Order: sequence, then C-alpha cells, then structure tokens
Amino acid sequence: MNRRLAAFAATFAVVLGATAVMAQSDVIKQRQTLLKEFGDLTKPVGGMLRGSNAFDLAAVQAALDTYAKSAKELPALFPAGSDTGDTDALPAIWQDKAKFDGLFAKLASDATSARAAITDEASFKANFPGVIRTCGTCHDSFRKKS
Amino acid sequence: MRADTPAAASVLAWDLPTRLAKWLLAALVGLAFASKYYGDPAMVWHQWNGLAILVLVVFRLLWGVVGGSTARFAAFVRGPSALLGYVGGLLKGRPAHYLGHNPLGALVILGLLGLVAAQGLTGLFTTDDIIVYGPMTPVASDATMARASALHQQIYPFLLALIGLHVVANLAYSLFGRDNLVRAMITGRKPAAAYVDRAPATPGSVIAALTCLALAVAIVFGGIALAGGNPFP
Repeated sequence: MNRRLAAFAATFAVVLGATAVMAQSDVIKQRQTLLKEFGDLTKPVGGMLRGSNAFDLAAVQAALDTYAKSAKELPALFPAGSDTGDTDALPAIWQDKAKFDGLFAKLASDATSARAAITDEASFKANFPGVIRTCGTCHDSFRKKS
Repeated sequence: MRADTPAAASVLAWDLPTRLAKWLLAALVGLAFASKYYGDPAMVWHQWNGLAILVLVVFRLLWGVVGGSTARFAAFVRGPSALLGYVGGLLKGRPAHYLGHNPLGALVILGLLGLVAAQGLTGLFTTDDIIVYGPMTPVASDATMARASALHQQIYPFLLALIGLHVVANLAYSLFGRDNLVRAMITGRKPAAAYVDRAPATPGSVIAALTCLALAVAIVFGGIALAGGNPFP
C-alpha cells in the first residue's frame, strides 16, 4: 500500500474512533444532565411531600413538565454501546431495552396525567408519589449502586 | 418460670434496662424493615425509626460501661483462650455454663451492635436521589451520599444473616441447652446453678440508666445538629 495512503487511512481511523468515543461520552453527559435535572427539581418537591417545604404548585408543575419532556428524550440517549465510561448505567438496560424504555414512557404519561390532576396540596399529596415511584423502580433494576 | 418458684432458686441474670434496651432494639429493627417496605414514600417514618435505633445503640454502649454486671463489655467480652475453650466445650457437647453472654455469644452481640450501628450511621447519609434524604445529607458531598447509600444496602443482608444466626442459636440453646435463654431475657432470671461468671448479676441503677438514655438522645440529636445536619426528618 502507498505509504501516504496508509498514513491517511490511519489518521482517518483514529479520528473516526475518537469521534465515536466523544459521541459516546457526549451521550452519557447529556443523559446525566437530564437525570440530574430530575433530581434537582424533585428534591424541593420531596420536601413539600414531607411537609418541610411550603407547597408550591408552580414548582410541582415545573417538575412534572420536565419529567414529561425529558422522559421522551431519554431513551434515545441510551444507545447500544454507551454502557462504558463514566456511567452508572447497568448492562441490564440493553438486555431489556423495551422494559427500560417502557419505564420512561410510563413516567412521561404519569407526569402528564398528574399535571392535569394536581390543582392543590391535597391532590398533590395524592398523585405525586405515584409518579416518582417509577424513578425508584428504574434505579433498582438499571442503575449501579456505586 | 413457675409463679411459685422461691426467690432463692433463681438468680438475676439481666437487669431491667438491659432487657428493655434489647427488646426495644429488636422491635425497632423489625419496624425499620416494615417502614422501608410499607412506610411513607419519603421514608420519614423510617428515618425516625433509624434515629431511635441510634439512640438505643448509643445507650447500650454507655450501659456496657456503667450498667449491670452482665451488660458490661469488660465483663462479657473475653479473650481468645476463653473463646477457644468455650468452642471446644461446645463441640464436645459440654459447653461451659455462663450466667451472662458466653464467649461465643459475646462476639455475636458485638457483631449485631456493630452492624446495627453501621446501618444507622450510613442511613444518616443515605439518599435515593429522588425524595428520600437522610438527616446528614444537607452537609454531605455527592460522593459521600453515594457511598453511604450503597453501604446502607450492602450491610442489610449481613445484618439479616447475623440476626438469623442469633435467633436460631438462642432457640437451640433454649430448646436443647441447660437454660431457657429467651425466657431469661424476658424475666431477667436464671435458675441458681454453678456458673463460670459471677452470679447473681449486679443490676445497674435506674438513675444511671435514665442518665445514659438522656446522654444518648443528646449525643445522637445534638451530634447531627452540631455537624450541620437536620436531626428532625
């Protein structure tokens, strides 16, 4: 093989490989940002559930809107092969991707119905815990316990 | 124990504070399981339960220094030679007869207290990253919380296993051994007999017990508050 062509091919391969790795770490970062946002929005709402924070309908609605929006984006951010690197995602995700995606679909639809059902503190306390139960279900099966 | 047993036929083995602490701790550990699986979603009940367990463990540690003679660590924790001697006797079917904890049982008691304490302490820093945030999470780093939350789950099966061993061993001793250990831990008394350790036991004072309890409450809740946590979930 022509030496220059070989060098070009090698460079191309390295760049291609690096791009793939970068894209992968990108996707990990993206999903972590969305999930961290879930956590940050849920924390004060948890305080309202416990009674340590005052009830704030707007904050509850903001959390539910974010769940509904991001839960639709998240399944695509777990492509095959993105189980390595700085991630707590367990291989179980890709062994049962349908179940994993189904939990996000359930979260999105639960959040949408709760958004409509929650109008005051009483309806909040009745409806919110059911929405976030899916978070725990998913963590139990698909997230590394560090 | 028969109601008409004369006082001279039985001797004190466990004073009242030791027995109360023991059964309360057992009940609270049971309730901790219940409140984990059947409690409120934010686990407020489970957290109060854990704080109560920590108070009892601290009480038991203090009581192990100033309490009744059979409750004191210095009296019931024995060296390797006593342990080997006891295990040898047990294997021959003739275990030495102790009024308080035997040397092997002493190890289980230390293990149980240690695991329950570890479970209580890691629980303070535990979060599910959803809506459960333990009393010390406001001042803990993400790495600490992740580590503690993982440990809180990892310790659990070991605690269950040791509790299982503890229950089975006590039932076996009570059914096949020389005295009914379970009944003794309820009534506080054992039949008068020749024991390796000093009998009867000397009970700790009620004032000392109340002081230990107040100190334990102050240490647990004051400690969390001083460290910047929120002692009231």
